[in-house]
Amino acid sequence: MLFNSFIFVFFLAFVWIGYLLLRAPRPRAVWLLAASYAFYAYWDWRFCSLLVGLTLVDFSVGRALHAAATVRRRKQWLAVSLAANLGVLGFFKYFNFFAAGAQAALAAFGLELDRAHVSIILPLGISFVTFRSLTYTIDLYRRRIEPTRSLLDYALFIAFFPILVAGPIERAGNLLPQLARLRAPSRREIGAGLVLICLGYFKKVLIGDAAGRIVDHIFGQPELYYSPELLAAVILFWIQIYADFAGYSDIARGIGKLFGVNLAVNFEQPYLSRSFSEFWRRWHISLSTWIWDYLFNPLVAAVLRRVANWRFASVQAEMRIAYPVAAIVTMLLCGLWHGAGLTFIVWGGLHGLYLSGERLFVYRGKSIPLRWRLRGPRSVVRLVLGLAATQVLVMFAWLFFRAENLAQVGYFLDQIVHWQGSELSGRFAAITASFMGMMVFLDLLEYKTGTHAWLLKLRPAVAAGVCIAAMAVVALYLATVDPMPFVYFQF
Amino acid sequence: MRGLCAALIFVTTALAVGLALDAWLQAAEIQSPLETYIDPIYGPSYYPGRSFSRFHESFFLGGTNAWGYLGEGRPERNETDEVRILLVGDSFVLGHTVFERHHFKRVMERELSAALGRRTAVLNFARADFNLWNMHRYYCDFASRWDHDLALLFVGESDLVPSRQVGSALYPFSYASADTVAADYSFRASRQFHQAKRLEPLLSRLAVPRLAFNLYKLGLRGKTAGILFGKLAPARTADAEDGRTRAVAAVEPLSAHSRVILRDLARDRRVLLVYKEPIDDTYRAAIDSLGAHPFDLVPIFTGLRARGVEPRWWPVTRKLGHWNQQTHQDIGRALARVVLDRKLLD
Repeated sequence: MLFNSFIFVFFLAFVWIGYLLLRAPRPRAVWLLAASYAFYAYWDWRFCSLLVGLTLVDFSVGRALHAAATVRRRKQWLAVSLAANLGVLGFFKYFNFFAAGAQAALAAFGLELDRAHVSIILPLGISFVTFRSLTYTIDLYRRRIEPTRSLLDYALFIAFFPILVAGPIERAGNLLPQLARLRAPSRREIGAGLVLICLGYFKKVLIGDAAGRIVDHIFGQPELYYSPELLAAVILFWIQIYADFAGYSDIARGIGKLFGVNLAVNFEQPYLSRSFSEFWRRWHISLSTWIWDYLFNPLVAAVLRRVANWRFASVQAEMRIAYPVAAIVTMLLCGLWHGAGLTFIVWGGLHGLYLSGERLFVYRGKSIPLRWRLRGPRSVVRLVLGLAATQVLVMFAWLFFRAENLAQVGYFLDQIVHWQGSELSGRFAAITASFMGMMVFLDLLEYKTGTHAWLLKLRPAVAAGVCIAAMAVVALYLATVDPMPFVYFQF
Repeated sequence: MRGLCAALIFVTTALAVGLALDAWLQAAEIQSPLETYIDPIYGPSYYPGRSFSRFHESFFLGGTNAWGYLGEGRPERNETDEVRILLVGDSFVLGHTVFERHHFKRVMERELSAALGRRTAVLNFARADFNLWNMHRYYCDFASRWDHDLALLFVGESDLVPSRQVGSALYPFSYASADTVAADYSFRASRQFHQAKRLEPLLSRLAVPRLAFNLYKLGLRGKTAGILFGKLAPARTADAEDGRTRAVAAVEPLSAHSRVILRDLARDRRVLLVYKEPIDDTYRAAIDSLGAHPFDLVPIFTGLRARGVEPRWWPVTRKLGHWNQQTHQDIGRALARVVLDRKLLD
């Protein structure tokens, strides 16, 4: 069920009213669990069994892990959880990719293999489900959380419908306690929830989907278009993926608030970043912190342990090796998490290089605050240059993320470098500027007010007027076009 | 009093935001206002100098010229001694699915200019929901005012038998009156005409009412349940899916009206009929007997299919609709060839 469909709006209204009518946490949890499975079953009921399986495995592993007396035993149980989650992910998402890779590698040595290809549907949101599930067992292993005794709570943690298919990747430590004590939302939460939902729909439907229509057509048949149109498609994808995903996250957080559940913030105006380290503190925050905690930091520690034996002169020298190695490896894996394809790996690799290069040559380990401090014209120039350089390189990396294959990336770059104007250059420039203007306007409002629900800072009548007008336009647009799935649903 | 004040603020804000969003929708070409109006003589016509976009099957960015027809424009009088060819047809010829540079008119212009050694302009006078009776009237009243050397009229089987079509009731049409062609402009007395005229100022300026109008049209086609309930909506039959063509069991004979119109067109040496879809042999024979020698596009579609190209398939939206870019290219080349082979410009 897509958030951007009328059937989902009816579903949400029905589930919410039912939730409000129930008074105790347990019946509420049962109700939300049933609703979450219905939500998933609407896409394909057969994959509900996968959710059940992962739930049972990690719930049992969690209890066993907590009860284990020795470190060795704990490691064994963690390995079971890792094998189950990564096994499912690997089979559904990467089997064909690696099978094709192995086949190509063997062919290079003259060995022919029958095509090993399995026709499988990628279960919706499988990457998010497995990563969420892993936070539970890894945090238990690290003794950061206590295991839940309630299978119901754990099942809801895995299947909670607002975050089921595209995150945010909630930590067990944040979400499980809230699900264990489900409560009625306060009036303030309902207000904030509705505002977030309204702004989320606006971003997703009117910015993301509308830009996505143009992007899909141009990336679908790039040979039909000239340089300005191809460049516009790259910029519009930069806008689409942000509006689409940030819109989804706002809707998810808004829905969470309607049920009295506070979900993690996933985006903090990433396109206002002046550096790549800042970008990754603002973009898909639940994934970047997951990667930071569970991949990057352990990797840095591992590399440092090895580098320490080489007797470098200083810790700084050791960091100069450890950081880039860890950043590149982590971002390559991050790329692979997004999709089983070379384009995604290159996208991740580029971000790894950006982060390493920036750390080594530009900021040299200095931390950059998330708030701008503008003192004088020089700082403004620095800000503009930082913004422009970062975003152009982010856009370049998105080209790999969106392209069908590396050959298409080559085609785009070739056409843009060997510039050939078109009779529609002006119109494409106006379209791109309009989308960009709206996106930056909304980001600046969020940045200035320090909240995603900035409408709540206005008079209630004004906020209601803005919401009703925006939602009316969204509903009319949504009703007259084919709904576009969220870009991140495929992951 | 405080409640009234809040209500006033609410309404004012909603209207202001609505108007601001409308302006943004237009600037970003997410939705354009209605680009057509109902002319009391010609029926639905384009406003001159309008830019608009379409996304239904594919991606279209285009517009009308200062004279109120699609694409690059020319004045009525041909003062440059260029070769002029008019296109009159329905939405297939209109080409709201391809950029003008991919439309078959561009291929024709290129090929004919090169072959004739004279600049050739192909002017697109197509209209959506046109049938033979409408397009004949439009050709006589409007398109033929442009000094032309040749006019191509594109017809399909359903266009030949307008009684089978549920097209626009807002077009004037030609009909047979005592063996001659007469014109009917009764549409301007209809309730639909007056309703459309009342809505015109709003729909032609604002994008949001246009969205509402689009939704109304989808409702008329019975798509509301699907929009609201998705997979849970009751399944619709193929007839209901189309909603624009009445199903008929057998081939109806060509009506007296169509015969007289076709005979009139056959007499005009500057007109070439083009079959844009398969035509039943009964109609072919009837039309041949009237002295017309239409050009058939169907072999081009057959050739495309033999090369693995479905002429109306849109890979991005995964829809079957109007001719795609590759089909336009082949049609353009074939039409240029037939114009030259039959020496229609001599």
